[in-house]
Parts: sequence; C-alpha cells; structure tokens
Amino acid sequence: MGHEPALLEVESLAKSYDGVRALRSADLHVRAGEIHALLGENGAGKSTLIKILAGATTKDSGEIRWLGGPVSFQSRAESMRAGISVIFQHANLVPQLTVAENVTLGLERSRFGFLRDSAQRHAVRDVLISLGSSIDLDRMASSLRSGERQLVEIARALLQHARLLILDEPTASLGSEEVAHLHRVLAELSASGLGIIYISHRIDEVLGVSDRITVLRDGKTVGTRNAVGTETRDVIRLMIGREAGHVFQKASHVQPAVVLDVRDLTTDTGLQGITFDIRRAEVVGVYGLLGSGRTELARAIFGADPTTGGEIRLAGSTSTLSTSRAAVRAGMGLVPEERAAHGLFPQLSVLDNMSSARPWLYSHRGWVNAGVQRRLVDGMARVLGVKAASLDQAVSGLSGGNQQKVVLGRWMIGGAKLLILDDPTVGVDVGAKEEIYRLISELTADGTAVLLMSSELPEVIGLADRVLVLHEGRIAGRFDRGDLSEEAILRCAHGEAA
Amino acid sequence: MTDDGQAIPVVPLRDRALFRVAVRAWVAHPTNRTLVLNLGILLTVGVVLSLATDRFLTVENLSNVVRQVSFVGITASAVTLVMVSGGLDLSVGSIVAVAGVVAAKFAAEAGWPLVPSFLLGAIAGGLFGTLNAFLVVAMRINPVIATLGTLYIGRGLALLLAGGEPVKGVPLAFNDLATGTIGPLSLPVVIFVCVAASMLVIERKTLIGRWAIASGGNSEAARLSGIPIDRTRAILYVLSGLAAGIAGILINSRVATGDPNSGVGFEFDVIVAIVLGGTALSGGQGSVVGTVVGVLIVGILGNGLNLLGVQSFSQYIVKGVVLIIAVGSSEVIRRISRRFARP
Repeated sequence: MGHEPALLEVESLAKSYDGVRALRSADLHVRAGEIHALLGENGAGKSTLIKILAGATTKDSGEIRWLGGPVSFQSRAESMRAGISVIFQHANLVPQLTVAENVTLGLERSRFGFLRDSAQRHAVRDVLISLGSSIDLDRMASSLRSGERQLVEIARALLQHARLLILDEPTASLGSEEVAHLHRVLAELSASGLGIIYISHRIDEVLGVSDRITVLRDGKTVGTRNAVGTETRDVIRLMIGREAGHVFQKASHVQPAVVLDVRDLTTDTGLQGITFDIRRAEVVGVYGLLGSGRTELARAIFGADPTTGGEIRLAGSTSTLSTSRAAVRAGMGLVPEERAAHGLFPQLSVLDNMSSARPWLYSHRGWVNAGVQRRLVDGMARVLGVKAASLDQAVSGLSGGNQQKVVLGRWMIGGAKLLILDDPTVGVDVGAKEEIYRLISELTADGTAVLLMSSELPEVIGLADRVLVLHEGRIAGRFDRGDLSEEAILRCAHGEAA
Repeated sequence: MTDDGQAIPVVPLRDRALFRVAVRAWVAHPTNRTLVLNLGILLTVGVVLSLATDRFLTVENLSNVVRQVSFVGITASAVTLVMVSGGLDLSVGSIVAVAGVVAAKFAAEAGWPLVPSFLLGAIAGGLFGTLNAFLVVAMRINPVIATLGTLYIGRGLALLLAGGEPVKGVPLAFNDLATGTIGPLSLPVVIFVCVAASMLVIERKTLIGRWAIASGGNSEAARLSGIPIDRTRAILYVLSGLAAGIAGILINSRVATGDPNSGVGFEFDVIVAIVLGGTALSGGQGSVVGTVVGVLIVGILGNGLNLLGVQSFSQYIVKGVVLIIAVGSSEVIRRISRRFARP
C-alpha cells in the first residue's frame, strides 16, 4: 500500500442546493487497488459527493482530478465512460429484464441499432463466474434476492471496465453470509487493481474490509486514517465531533400485566406456530437472519398480512386482530423496516405525517381542529427533537434519522400500548441512533410495551428484557436478560440447537 | 456454473430437463402468462362460435375479421411500445382524422397523385407524434394530459381543415388503398402484418426496444446506466403517431373521403386491445405479440356477437364486461387460489 498511483483526487469540493450547503470542503484521495471507506452521519455530504463523482449533479467549486487530470462530469454517461461505476443504495435493476440484459444495460453491443446479445453472453457469464456467482443469465431480475442483485450490479461495473467502483450502503439489506461473500469479492477486485469507495453505517464492518477511511462531517473532510489501528470509538468521535456516551442505557420497567398474547401464529408468509407474550413496559427483542421471518412477524401482529392460524390478542380487546385498522384502534403502532415505502407520506408535511395515525385526537365528526392538531404535533416534535425547518416542511426533505423520529412520533402522540419497531435504526446515523435508543427507554418508562425486531445483535442485547430468536419462521430460542449471550443467540439464529 | 454450461456432449434427457427449465422461466414472466391465458380465451371463443354458428369458421368471415381489426392493430402495435416505455398515447383517434383529411385534401383540392397524398397523410400523423414527443419528453407534461390535449387539438384541426364535413371531390381511386389486395390478402391486412412485425423486431431485437423496457421498468436505473431515456421515448411517440397516421389513411380510404369525424373513440379501442394483451399501464411490461392477440380477441368477439344477432347497444355492455373480467381475472384467480391453499 502507499505505492499505488492516485486514481481519484478530490480537493475542497463544495456544493449547495437552494442555499443549503451540502458540501463545504470535501477532500478524498483514492488509490488504485484500495478499498476506501467513506463515513459520516446522515447529512454529512456523502451522497452529494457521490452524486458529483457519478455525474448525477455538478460541483459549485473545488477540483476533481481523475487519473491525474482535472475533470468535471456533466452527465452520468460521461462519468461512466471515464470508468466510474456507482452502485446506489437501492439496487438499480430493471425487474422486467433478465440477468444478462441487466448486466449489459447501457452497454449493449449493437449493429445499426440491432442488439447483438449473443456476442456479449460469454463475457457476461465470465464476469459472473469471476464473482463466484452461479446466477442463471436468463432469470428475471425481479426474482433475484438482494445479494444476487448486488452481484449483478457489480458484474455490470466490471463489464464496462470500471477503474473505480463506488458502493453506497451495499450491505444494508444483506444477510451475514451475503455480506461475507461481498467482502471477499471486493477484496479480490481491489487486489486486481480496482479502486473501491465503500460507504456504510456499520463502522465495525467498514474497519474490517477497508484499507483506509475518510470521515465527513457537515460537508467537510475531518480526517483520513488507515483502517488498521483505528478503532470504532475513534471513528465515532470523528463523525460526531464528540465522545460517544454509553450507547445503551437500559433500565427495566417490566410490569406483570400481559399486553399482547400471540398463540400459534401461522401465516402464508412463512411463520409457523409462533407463541409468545409481551408484558407492560417490556422490551422484547426479536433477532433473526435475513429471511428468518422478522418483518413477517411484525406485519402479521399488526394485521398487515392475513394469518392462516392462531390468534393475536391485545389486552382489552376481545377478538383477534385481523386488520391494521383494528390494530391501530386497539393502541398498537408499527415502525416499518422500509421507512420510505411503508412508513412515510413523502410529499406530506411533518404535521400531516405525525398526526396521521390517530385522527380522533383532533377531530370531531370528520371535522379537523387544526389548532389542536398542530399543538399535539408541535409538542411531540419537541420531545423527539425533530430537526425540520417547520412543521409544514415536506417529510421527504428530512434526514433518515429525523424521518424515523416522525414515524415514531406518529404512534407516541396519544400514547401506545404496544409499539412494533422493525429495524428502527437501519440507515440512521450514529447520533440519531442514540436518540432512538433513548426514546425506546423513555417509552417503556411510560408503560408502553415494545417489540423490537433487529438485525443488529448488540442493539437487541442492549435494549431487550427478553430475546426471541427466529429461524425459518419458527422461534428457535428464548433468552432472558440474565442469560443473553451473543454466541448462543447467533448459534440459535443459524439453526443450531441452543 | 450455469445449467446451460460448457461443451459437454448433450444427452437428450438433459436436453429435456433444460427445455423444462426454459419453459418454466418463460411462463414465470407475467406477460407470457397473460399471453397463454389470452390464447386460451381466443381458442375458446373461436370453438364456441364455430359450434354456435356455421358462418363463423369460414375463410371469408375470418379474413373479414382480420381486415376489420387491422386499423386498430396497426396503431396498437406501436402504442404498445410507448406504454412499455412508461408513456401513453391517447391522441391516436384524432390523428386518424387528421391523416385522412390531409390525404383527401391533397388528392381532391391540390390535385396531387394518390401515393404522395397518402404519404403526406401518414407523415401528418408522424408530425403529431413529434408534437406529443415534444410535450411529454421535452416539456415533461404528464402523458395522459399531453396526449389528451393533442386529442382535442387534432380533432379541431381536422374539422377546421375539412370545414366540418367529409372532403368533397376525392377521386374514386382514393378507395383503392383499403380495398386493394396483394395475392389473397387485402392491403390493410398486409400493412398490419408489416407494422406489427416491425414493432416486434424493434421490441425484441433493437436498442430502442431494450431501452423502452428499461425506461418503463425502472427509469432511475435506466438513467443511472446512461440510457438515453428521452430519445427512446421521443422516437416511440413519433412511431406511434406515424402508425396512427397509416391507420388514418386506411380508415378514410375505406369510406373514400377524408372524414374529420373518423376515429372518434378509436383511441379507446386501441388501449383496450393493448391492456387486454397484458401490457401494464405502469410501464415496463408488455409485448407486441400480446397486443396482436388482444386485438384479435376484440375483433372476434365483436364479429361473433354480430353473427349471433346481438344488437349493437348490448355489444358495448358485453365488451365492457369482457374487458373487466379479462384484466381482473388474474387478480381474482390469485386470491381464490390463496384461499383454497389454506389448511
């Protein structure tokens, strides 16, 4: 390391959107053959930097040197032609096209406008094999799993002979084996001379896979370090500019009254014979690998998916809950995993988003009392510390952490008996994560029960009074706070007897 | 390694297994499932009609059906690609009138020979397509609104040009285009086959076709892959206008004049056939083959109802019901099968 030539040099890059400075002075040096991690809280300017490198937007000032020469990409095609490939967070495939067609998307070979797919087939297959993948070239992209989709995108980058590969949160939706495979692939690619920029919220993971890291804060580069010898604590300090406090402050408030009673729950989505209960002010953690049924469980309890067997009873209601409307009216709340798709009305304001779940609190016979509505939301926004220009700002303009607070606040207005949080800190930065943890503790102090689904083991162990481990749609293990061990939970989640 | 691997001598058994895999992959595609379903419907309707009336299964009747649907078919083949790319073209009904009136005017009043008159009519359609492309692609106006606007503009223009009534003084030979034959086939049918085949080739074998699916299926992915979405969509709108123009000169040639009121409601016949054929209104999904089958279903159904002596008022109702059933059936079947799958 250290001898490779500079592939990309970014010097004091700046960019404003409508007067808001997204980037003030970003510096980034990437060498050929290295994995360079880019870290920073949400809103630190990572996405803006990437968009500029991708040619999706243009810089205001500063300099970008590519292979030694200054460049200014005006379009995605220009950046692509130069050899920069970007894999954006939400896998960008066309679901209606096949694997082979997706790999060659935008790179199709043609003669007089007529496709020559067969000429490219071998090249596509070779690239996929070199990535250790056995995906059938003729499968529709819509049938691929997240890990496979990512490999298809990487294959596309390799096919266009990229010199620099940028991955934005590549592991956000991957299971642990898929992450391991992705990291092996990236290590091999960088060894062959490809430069890689790797963006992730998972600091431990980043330190494990990268050669160097660069940290952005408030649009400025605050430091570049070698990954070896750097600790998570150091990175967090750089990212938030202060020492991180105790991430988990868990106080148990559990009361004996049962809030939710689930018996033999079975669904078409793969859940089988799930039985458990939650007591007042209890946090029950649900841990499981990708595909173990976490989200399915959350949706079934909330009445979002039909059940085929068993019953779900919320204290105080006599019948089994079968629709989300019934669940909400009975005092349940769901913070879904897919925040953007299932949790928010992006064009609506903070006000409308936060007040959407309990209209009866501020309306009478269908007439909205706007004053009461605003007062309720304003109070809750203050409690949560939502950072927004005003309550009338569209929620799409907020950062991930603030959006999550809006979704949480929706259920906290008027109080909830039971909150189901499905991976509440996914795609949320370190600072906001801590606040969400604090909110969960505060919630339980008020008597709210919390069902916490999570893909992050430390989160589950740190916050839960009890942990259920899911494996292939069944409960594979139950752990009390006293005997929580990371190793036992992981073995359980992988299907080994606890 | 993939299944269809290397240069191992292929044993027949493996071949068959491979074939099954390929068939399963083909059926997994929603467009293809609709196609199978539609071919079934077509066959069933055909069998029922040939049993119910002996006038249905005759060469004369069937070629009559195909000739009747060829106008919708020509247009629908092209509009399919617009819809696959994520757009919509409602203006085709008026383009029919504009093309017909333009051709008739040149033939009747400017005294032009017929071939260049017809060509100008079709080109007028292409110009309308260009206007659509400009509004939708360059001005970023919602395609429903933009082409609804040009639908009105086109109708008004045709009425103004023709002075509110069919163009007078059109030479008798103006009728030859619609009534002419090539061998045993009538000219409109031949043109239908040619246009549908060209659109099929564009869909399956060209960059434009691939890019149309990508633009309609995931426009963000298409943009980030450096695909010229705008150019793709623009070309398809122009083609759609051109196809509607061709249908327009044929329709007006059939009545031997330029009728400014021709093609009223035509746009809905076109969209119905396309949607029946399995093309998604949301884009990304659909095929010209599916559309051709959709066009035939509509045609044979209408023909059958005529032969059975169902009066035309009731036919509207039957067609509406069939559309809702055909498009809604897949959803209903899915829900029912799920209910039965429960223990």
